[in-house]
Amino acid sequence: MEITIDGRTCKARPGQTVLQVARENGIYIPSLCYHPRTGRAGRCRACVVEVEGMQGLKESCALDVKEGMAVRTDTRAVTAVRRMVVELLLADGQHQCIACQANGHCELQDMAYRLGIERPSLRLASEPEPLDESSEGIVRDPNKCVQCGRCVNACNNTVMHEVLDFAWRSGHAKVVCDDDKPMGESSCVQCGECVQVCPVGALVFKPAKGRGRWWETEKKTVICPYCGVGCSIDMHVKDGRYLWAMATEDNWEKLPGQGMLCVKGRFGLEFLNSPDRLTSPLIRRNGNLEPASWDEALDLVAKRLKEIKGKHGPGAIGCFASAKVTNEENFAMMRFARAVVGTNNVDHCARLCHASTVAGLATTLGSGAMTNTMQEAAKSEVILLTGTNTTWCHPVFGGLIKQAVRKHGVKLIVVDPREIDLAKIAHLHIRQKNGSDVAWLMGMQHVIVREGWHKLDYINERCEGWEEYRKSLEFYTPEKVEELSGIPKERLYEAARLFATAKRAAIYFSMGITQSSHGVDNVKACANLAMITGNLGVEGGGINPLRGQSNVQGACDMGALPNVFSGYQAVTDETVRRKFAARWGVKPEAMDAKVGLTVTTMIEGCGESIKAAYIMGENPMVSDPNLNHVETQLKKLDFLVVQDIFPTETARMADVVLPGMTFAEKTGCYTNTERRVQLGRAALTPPPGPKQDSEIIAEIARRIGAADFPSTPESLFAEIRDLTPSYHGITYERMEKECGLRWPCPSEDHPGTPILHIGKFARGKGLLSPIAYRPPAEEPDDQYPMRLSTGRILQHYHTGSMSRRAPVLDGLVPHGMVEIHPNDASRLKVKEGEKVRVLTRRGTIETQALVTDRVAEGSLFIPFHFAEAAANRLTIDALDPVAKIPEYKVCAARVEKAAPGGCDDCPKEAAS
Amino acid sequence: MISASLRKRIETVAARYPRRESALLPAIAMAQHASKEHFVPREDLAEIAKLVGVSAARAYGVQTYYTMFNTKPVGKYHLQVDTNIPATLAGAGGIVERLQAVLGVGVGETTPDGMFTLSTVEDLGSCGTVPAIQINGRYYENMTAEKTDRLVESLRKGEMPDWKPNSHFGSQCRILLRRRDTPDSTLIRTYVKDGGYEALRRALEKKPEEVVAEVKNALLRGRGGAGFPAGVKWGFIPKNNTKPVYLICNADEGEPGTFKDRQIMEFDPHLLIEGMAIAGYAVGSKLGFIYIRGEFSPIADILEKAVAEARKQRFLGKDLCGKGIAFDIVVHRGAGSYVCGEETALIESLEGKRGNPRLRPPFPAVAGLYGCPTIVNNVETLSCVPYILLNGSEAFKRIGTPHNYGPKLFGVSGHVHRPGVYEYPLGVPLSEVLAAAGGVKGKLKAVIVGGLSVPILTAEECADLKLDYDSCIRHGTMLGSGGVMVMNDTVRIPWLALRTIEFYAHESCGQCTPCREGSNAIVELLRRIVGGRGTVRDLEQVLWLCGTIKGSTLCPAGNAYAIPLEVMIRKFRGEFDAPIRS
Repeated sequence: MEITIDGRTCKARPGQTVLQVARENGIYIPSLCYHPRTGRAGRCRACVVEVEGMQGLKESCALDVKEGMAVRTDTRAVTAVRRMVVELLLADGQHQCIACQANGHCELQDMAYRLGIERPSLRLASEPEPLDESSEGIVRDPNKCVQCGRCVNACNNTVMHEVLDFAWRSGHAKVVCDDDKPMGESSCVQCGECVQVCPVGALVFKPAKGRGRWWETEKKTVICPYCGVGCSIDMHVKDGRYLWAMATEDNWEKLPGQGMLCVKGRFGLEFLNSPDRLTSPLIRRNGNLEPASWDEALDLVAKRLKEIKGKHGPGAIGCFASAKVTNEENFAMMRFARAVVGTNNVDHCARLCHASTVAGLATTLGSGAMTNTMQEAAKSEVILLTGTNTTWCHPVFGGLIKQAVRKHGVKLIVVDPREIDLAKIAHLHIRQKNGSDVAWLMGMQHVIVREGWHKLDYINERCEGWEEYRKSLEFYTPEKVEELSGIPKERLYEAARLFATAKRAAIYFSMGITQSSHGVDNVKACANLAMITGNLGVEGGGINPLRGQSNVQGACDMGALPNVFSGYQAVTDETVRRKFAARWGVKPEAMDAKVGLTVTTMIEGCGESIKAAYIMGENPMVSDPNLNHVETQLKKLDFLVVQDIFPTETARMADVVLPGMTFAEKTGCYTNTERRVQLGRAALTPPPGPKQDSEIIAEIARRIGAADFPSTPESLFAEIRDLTPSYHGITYERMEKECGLRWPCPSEDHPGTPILHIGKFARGKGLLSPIAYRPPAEEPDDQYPMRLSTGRILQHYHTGSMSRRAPVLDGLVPHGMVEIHPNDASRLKVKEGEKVRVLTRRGTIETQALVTDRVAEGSLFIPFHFAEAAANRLTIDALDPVAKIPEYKVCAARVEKAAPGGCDDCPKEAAS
Repeated sequence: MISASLRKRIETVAARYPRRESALLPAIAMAQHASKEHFVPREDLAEIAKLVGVSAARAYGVQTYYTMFNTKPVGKYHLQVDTNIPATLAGAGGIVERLQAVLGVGVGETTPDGMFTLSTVEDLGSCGTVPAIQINGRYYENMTAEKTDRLVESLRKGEMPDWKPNSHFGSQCRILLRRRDTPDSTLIRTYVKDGGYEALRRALEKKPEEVVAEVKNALLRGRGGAGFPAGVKWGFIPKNNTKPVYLICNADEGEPGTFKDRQIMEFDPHLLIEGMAIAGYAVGSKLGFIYIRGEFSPIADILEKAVAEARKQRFLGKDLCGKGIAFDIVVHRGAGSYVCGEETALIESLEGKRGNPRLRPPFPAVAGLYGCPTIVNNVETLSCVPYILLNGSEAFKRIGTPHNYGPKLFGVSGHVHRPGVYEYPLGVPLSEVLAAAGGVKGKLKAVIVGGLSVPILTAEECADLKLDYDSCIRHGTMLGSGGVMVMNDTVRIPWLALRTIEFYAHESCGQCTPCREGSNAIVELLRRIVGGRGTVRDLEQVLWLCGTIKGSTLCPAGNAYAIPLEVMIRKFRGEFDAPIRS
């Protein structure tokens, strides 16, 4: 349709507001309280207009366009109101712009400038109010607040943390945190959304203050290097140095992060400025790591690898790819292992997190990835969320789930032993015994089939194995399930009823399901549940593993796995081997025809089957289970090369350390948890010293004899496209233009695939699996009477190599802790914050007690980010027989008060 | 720590509402009432927040929004003196001074022994019986210096005396105030004996559309202040609506000068209940709410008793008059906010939030309470409905003047000998109403006929004024709520203007820039002028602000003061210039 604004004809669409149309047409209408994400508010009155045929002034942010509407923004009445709004806001004399961080990026400034108001004509009495600088990352200046309400709206309706609201009334009205606590003492999680939407300088980033004016910075878009949501970040860079982060606003509705960030994306990129950065290759001489030249280091690596290969065979070398580097770089490492070394011993940390998913779903559905998309959360009728503390580990997606529940009426079932945040808004929160997941999952299915709620048509048409599967359900009676899992029969029934009778139900899961000695069984049980209820291949349904790392999905897609090439093409398949060999210019016979070793089995084999390891962007010395054992094992290696950006705990054990590039210094693509491949372009100039990771791999390859090993992202991506059918239609231009593409994307005109298994499964028919119940490998006993689980917290990321080098994150949580239930704490006479020892059969650590009823009585929870109190000193390396993934989520432990003299068995404080 | 019994009571209340969050205001009120120091401390507020299912910030935002919620301890007896315009015209200032002297504290202070806290508050809805003091939920009216002394003496002994107010009223129509002086008028047997609930039976025999048509035909105009035809409003509910429909009776009665709805609720609650039941049936609502201002808590008790009686006799509940029609009423108390008299702010408040008016569209009839179609009607409007059903719309139209039909309650306050509520047909001459109120005390200077939000009239201007919606507009004012405030020549208009803007600034919800900042700016400027420190520029800026605030605010509250202030200054300019020139 068409409307006119000040006589100008403008195209408009039904559903748009006058303000939106004006902005699209470059017509100036100021607004302080409207924001595309927080919506219309009508509070500031700055956007009022006059409309022919309508009486009075109308707020254009809330005025829906109608065909032929004639709008005027240039009347005396409109200008008078705009002037009055500015005059009233400036009247108290507290808007000081001179050193304000928002200077040059302030909508009030813009309005005053356009109206020519330099000095207010109204002078009212007022005293300046104190600033709130109590939080790590945000400064609040109530003097500058224009009461637009965007921050309140954003906090309550977008990110849904519900920290902010207005208090008091009239001229006393102000924004408060919780019940008017200082922000640093409130429930604020420092996601920074309030700062992002604030139109003025009332909310600014503390680390940004004084470091650069908005007009001095360049905006560079990157993909967040932390979790698998893959939020798009606009980094503000001055003189090549990172200053602060905003969520990308362009096309925000199409992006996975929906214009939001979490505290890690917001404040966690500061590690880019850490002085700890590795800038020179290091070679161990006389027991110490000493700086060396690139040629020295690369020559040494090539020489030693050639030697070991010659002496012990290619299978004696293990290659660790990285869930943090680009797809191109993972592909390079994969090619290096297979074509240059000649081994299938290539793996990465997916082994530790979603190996069960990949194996379990590949077997049952034919594809091991998330079947639906994150944007569909609002389209489900019921969501079953299990083994994922989503608001801590995939925080922005956790926010989308909250939106789905609060705004779209989605019913949430949370099955988690702990009272995670999402449990508080769940329709049903079930607290099962750690490790009993097969029982309750199959138990739900028992009830569903008994009640006849299963979708027999769907099963007959699309699945196989029904008879055998159905018989296996007999074991999982509600009584049996209650015995095994502790879940009362009525609650199991309710969960089954809610899930099965919903029109569309989705399952979201993460480590609670996968990190188990029967992780593959857990995943298969989830697949069974989704299949018999007909929830696969449909919008709002799906079985949705939340991949943890920024590019762990990509690393798997690129074949950095011992059993497949890129695109999950089997190494045991001769045709496939020939295809890759031909492209790589090597003899197919020279390539390994057997499935290689995993990260976990490579560690087991150190000193025996494995003599050398080339580790890129991984930190097994903190991430792997049973660290005391890992340490012993790694020491048995003849040769260890670590390629990283910081001197990690693993790097410190290496024979050669090679400095690589951070995510912000390289160009390449990353695949997030919903199979969306997104392009990240280099945004910062790296310091002198480090090399691109792909270059390093190519240099080593060339020195070993592979003269034409590709080293640029473009050349590597070209190979990926040629050899990987699911990535074939993806190009850099398309990724940038179309906000990423979800694979499979087989051709350049293919739009990408949001939902998998439509019509039929990737393997044809879905396989229903009978599953026998197996308990966890180690249950509590007299000596170790408590149940220990490990995992993540919001403020830090995995081994902490990046997050602990970000001052705000470090300030928020400087050290580790153990969650202990108040009843256990009082029994053990342990107080909040007291130092305690936690012991298992594998090791001992000392850490601080966090007394909370979030964790169940008799259970403990320790985050694994803190090397000096490493949870993985305690965890058990019991592996799933198929996936080889460790059972991080259950083992037996004991808590004692810390001995006053310290602890001999505990790891020493990590050298800084 | 909130006690187990309080927790249980909150649960019981929460169960009455379709959404738990609506119990937030009642919960805070109950916790405050149960607390020795008459306030809810932060820890308890956090517990309430969790119980009701809202964030800590939201609960705090609500507690601090409403005047009646205390955030600090308050003495054993909280003496809240009405100092709005009708009360001041009747001598409230002297009562405040007396209390200050007798108690030895200033306004806003508590006596050292913790016995008394003295506050001044806005209009308590007792304009006919002022000066009035609210003490811990009870009203003490017709106060004099002597009564003040006796009251304090009694309180010091720990006794709250039981004094009945001495109020005046009159009724020519004998419809709305028919049972005003009947003994036991609040009891259902009195109401039924007088023919009550027969209108409901008749309504239930018709189709809902027929009831709507009858009320539409009667041209019953909304008595809350806007004068919008109720039947037309009822027809705004979308035709293919599948959501629940809610009927809300607006009993917030906060407009200064207005104390009429109270007469019906306090003395003839069943008239309102029957009107609501008929209206609920007509619009397809199964659940209605009476949103009554928190200060009227004793009257809310009367309403709840009457609702219980009506339920017992199946005039409310699941099966009205055995016809299988369901309609019930929840009595919901506000907590001290004039703005909650505006229908969208009222709805926000009922949802357990700050009383913020909403943007329109959408209008409540399309998306109101909980996003569902909602009809909000004033007490007096709904109380006219039984008559229409009993006697027909034509009979209703025989009362009043063309397009201004039916009986109207006029509350007369200020400088008259018998302030009170008088029922006349719409269109009655003002002079007749003033005569009923005992005539003017002293020389008449000005009258505000429709509550504080309408332009003032000089004595000359109101000589031939008839009190109906259209006549008032022709005279350059509005009938509004029919709250007639009479002023003699002892009244200084600049004082009146200042007191007016102080009221609106105090009540401003604070959402929009013009009202939040502008109302307070005008207070400061007028204070300078009234205090003799004003400049020509200050008065110019007041006029500039009034002129620009007009029409620019989110809700009608901006016009409610901007227009009357402009008119006061224009008609009495000399009085404003004088302090400046000297």
